[in-house]
Amino acid sequence: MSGFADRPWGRLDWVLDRLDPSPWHLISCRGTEDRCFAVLRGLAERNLVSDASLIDIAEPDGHPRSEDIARLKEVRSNELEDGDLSEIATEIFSHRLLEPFHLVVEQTKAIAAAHPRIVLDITALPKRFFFPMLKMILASEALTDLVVTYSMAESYASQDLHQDIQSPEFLPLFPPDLGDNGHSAESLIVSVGFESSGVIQILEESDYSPVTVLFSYPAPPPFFGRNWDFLRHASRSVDRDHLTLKGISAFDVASVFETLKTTVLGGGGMSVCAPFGPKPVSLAMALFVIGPGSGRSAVTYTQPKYYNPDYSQGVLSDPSGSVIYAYPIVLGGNRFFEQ
Amino acid sequence: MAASSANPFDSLYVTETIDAESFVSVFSPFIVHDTSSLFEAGNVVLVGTQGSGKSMLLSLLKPETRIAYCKAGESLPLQAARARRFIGGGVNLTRSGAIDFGQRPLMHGEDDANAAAAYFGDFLNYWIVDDLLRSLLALLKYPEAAAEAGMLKVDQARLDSFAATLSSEDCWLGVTNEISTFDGFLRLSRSRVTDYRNYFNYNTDDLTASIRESKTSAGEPISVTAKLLRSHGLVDETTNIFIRIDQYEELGRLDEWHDSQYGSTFASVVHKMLGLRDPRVSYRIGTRRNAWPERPRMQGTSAVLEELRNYRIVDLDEILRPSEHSRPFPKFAEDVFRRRITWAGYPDAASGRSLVREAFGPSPKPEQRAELYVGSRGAAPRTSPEWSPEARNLVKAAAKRSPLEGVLAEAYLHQQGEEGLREAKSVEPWSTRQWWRKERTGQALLQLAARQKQKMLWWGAEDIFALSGANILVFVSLCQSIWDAHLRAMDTPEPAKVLPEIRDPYIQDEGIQQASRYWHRKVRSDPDGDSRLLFVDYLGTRFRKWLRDDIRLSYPGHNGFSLDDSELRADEEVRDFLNSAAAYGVLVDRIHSTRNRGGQKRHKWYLAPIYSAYFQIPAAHVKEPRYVRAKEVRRWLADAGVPGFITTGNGSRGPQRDDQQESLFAEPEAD
Repeated sequence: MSGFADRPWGRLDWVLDRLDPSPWHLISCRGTEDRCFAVLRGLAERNLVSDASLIDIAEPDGHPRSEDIARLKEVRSNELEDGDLSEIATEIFSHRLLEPFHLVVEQTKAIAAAHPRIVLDITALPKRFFFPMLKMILASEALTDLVVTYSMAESYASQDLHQDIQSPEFLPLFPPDLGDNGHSAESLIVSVGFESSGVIQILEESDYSPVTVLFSYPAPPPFFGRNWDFLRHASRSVDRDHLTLKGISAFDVASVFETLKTTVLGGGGMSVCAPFGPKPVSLAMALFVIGPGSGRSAVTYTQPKYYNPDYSQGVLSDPSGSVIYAYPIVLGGNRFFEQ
Repeated sequence: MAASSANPFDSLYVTETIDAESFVSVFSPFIVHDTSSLFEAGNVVLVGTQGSGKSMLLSLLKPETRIAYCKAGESLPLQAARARRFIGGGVNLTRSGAIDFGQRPLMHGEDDANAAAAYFGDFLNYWIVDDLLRSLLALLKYPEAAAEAGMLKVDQARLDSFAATLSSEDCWLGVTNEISTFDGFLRLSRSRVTDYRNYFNYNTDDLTASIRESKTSAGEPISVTAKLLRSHGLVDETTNIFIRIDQYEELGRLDEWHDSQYGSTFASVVHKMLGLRDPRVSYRIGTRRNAWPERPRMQGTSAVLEELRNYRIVDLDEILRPSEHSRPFPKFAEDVFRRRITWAGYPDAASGRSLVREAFGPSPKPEQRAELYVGSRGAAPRTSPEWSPEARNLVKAAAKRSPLEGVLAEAYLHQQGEEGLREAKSVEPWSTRQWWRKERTGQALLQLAARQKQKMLWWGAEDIFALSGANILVFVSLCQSIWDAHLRAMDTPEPAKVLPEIRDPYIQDEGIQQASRYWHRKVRSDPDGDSRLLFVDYLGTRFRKWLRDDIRLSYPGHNGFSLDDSELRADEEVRDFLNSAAAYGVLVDRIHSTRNRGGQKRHKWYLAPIYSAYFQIPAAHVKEPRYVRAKEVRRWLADAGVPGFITTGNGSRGPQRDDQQESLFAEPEAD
């Protein structure tokens, strides 16, 4: 058990310095982005990773840039085989992006049962995967420690980050509870960010009211313009009398968690979260809905069919090193987000 | 409560989330008259694109809507009292979690689609019966609404007696035998649904043995419930019982997610319910266009449902489309417009007046548009050096009278030559040949605006109706954007709630362009929307180029294309893509009646009219569209970069788009 106060978070190195130095099992994604192994590297440099489960996710056939994807994945494979990372025992688990969700759920269950100390790196994991994975890890009786990590990229693609969103669906294991009569309207809490076109579909096809938009503020430049762009577009689909904006931090999971609590408790009814914003905000949503105080909340999302293989470039760094955030969720059996 | 914004069209969607009185004020029952079969006994498949009013119609079947009307002191907006006598229940396949079947294998080797379908049918039975009974309870709190629905006065004893009989029915396979109260039955039905949901959400490791051993047959418990509701005197013998099944089209998505045919197998369960042909229950299936199969197979059999025998299709797009004999959409739009502005606090206007025309004025004549494109700069005609001086003078004289005349005269000479001019029955045949002229006016205006480096302009009631494309959401968004542009242009806040007369063409056009951009961008927001947007951009750019470069005005119909049905049958991928684009309202498809004696059936396809302002092409569909082969459309799809059609392994475009607009205002190439 660390001497952390309530819901700690910070840069990965800072957090690791304060934790039990026993090795961790890392669950991460082998994707196309440069940053997908940043956490693996960070842990390896400190000899803090025992072994790693890497999820490889194949997008549906017909991706317009399938050769680029294959090439970039080859680069990632080479990174694993050469240099420092080659000494780490890694196991690759192949999945399809739009497969039945029991496959990743069952697999996570098995991994979590065998590893009491887990780092879940959500940097390159799609929400359709990391939401149920997080829930299953937290449900594991073997779990003693869980840290979730997120690496910032140096830059992001100026073009669309993904293509062909699907219909809104409740994320696996995050459906709403049945209401009293199944007819009542629900409130929607949506975080906005890079790509929010799916929110429009959600707003148009449901009777959510009121709608609370969580706006990352201050937001780094790529988020900033797209946030306002989204709002301009969405404001045509929403009854503006029932729209509220709330400024939140893009990285402070604990404070977003508290904002969600106040918003939902204030609303008094069923809330549906729509995680279209920065990943740490999505993490806060997942933790909030998993937790006991979320009422009958659920998470809805429009899963894209294809991702841009150039989604991001590089790993953001500053004089302190790579910008990787770490969020301890469970330490020594102490669950920080279940109050 | 009235709308608080200065713009009565501030929100595109006005739903049950507003208060009951407002809902009743804003809700337009216009298309109810054309969809009477929806309120009569018999199964109905209700199809329509987004914005066709499908959700609005289905919402009339929900108890909340009836209660809203009751609270406002009004009856449901159905003319005949007989049509108002119904109760209903239903299921939304997505929101209920029904499409989670197949996401987690059922144990004991029951992990194929057929085994899952049996559980899926059982889930639907319990969900629908539960919803039906809860709807009944909701209505009982409003005696007037209940009476209008054809419910009889019931007390708790009668409800319990009904529940006890229902529970003892064989259709439940003994699971409900111990139930003796209405509340008890609701607890059990909810518990059954919760058990399923807990299983699919990994809250439990196994389905209970009780479920495994008591899977009910799809539709049967619903029929039994309907029978007992009548025989126990809860509802009148003549009360219809409508069962809504929403988002049927989402079942199609399951096939993509699985290696086996879960979606089509689950759909066969829904078909089986319709196939029961039980006169006591009428199903209402809401779905997007083209999602209902041509041969709806029923679960566990090779038999298929037959249209008219087992169900009727109500196609809202067809109902609202203009035909030779009627143009229903403007009347619908007028009704929506009148209700919105009345709700916003403007004086109630008599329904006979055209408020759209009063607010936005009439659209201009083609000559007026042409004058606006040319302005004071004038437009020199483009004559050919090969023409005789007489012919050149004729064109110049026409252009002097009117810029539009000049373009038509040029085109006539290019097309018919001087010989044709001499053989014509009049000196200026482009003026006197009415159909020739009418079909080419839009294209001529496009070319004139391009030459003058001007944008084409849209304004007035007729333009607004035409750009709406019989889609009420598009219409409301056009009103919203024009009103916004009008408010922005005002020096002072609008002093009183008086219907404004927005006559400035530039203000109206600004709003229309904004709405067009909105709808263009919104294509991305729909499922698989990026692929459709790539194709829309490809077509829009091509259509404009074809129309602009055709200086003979020989192909004014080339803002659309036509395909032989047999070609579409042979290329399922192209057919499915086009059908999907039509289902989402991005393309408009029509049966193409040709003069071809071969009699091959064809379909023609156009971009939805709202994109006309974005791509700067005429909205009207005239004369012959471009005749193409399926392989040509396939090539377009590949060139557009649509995933699944790109022939090289590494498409050059990927998830990105160019801004097509940059090239739209370029000059036509030199003649």
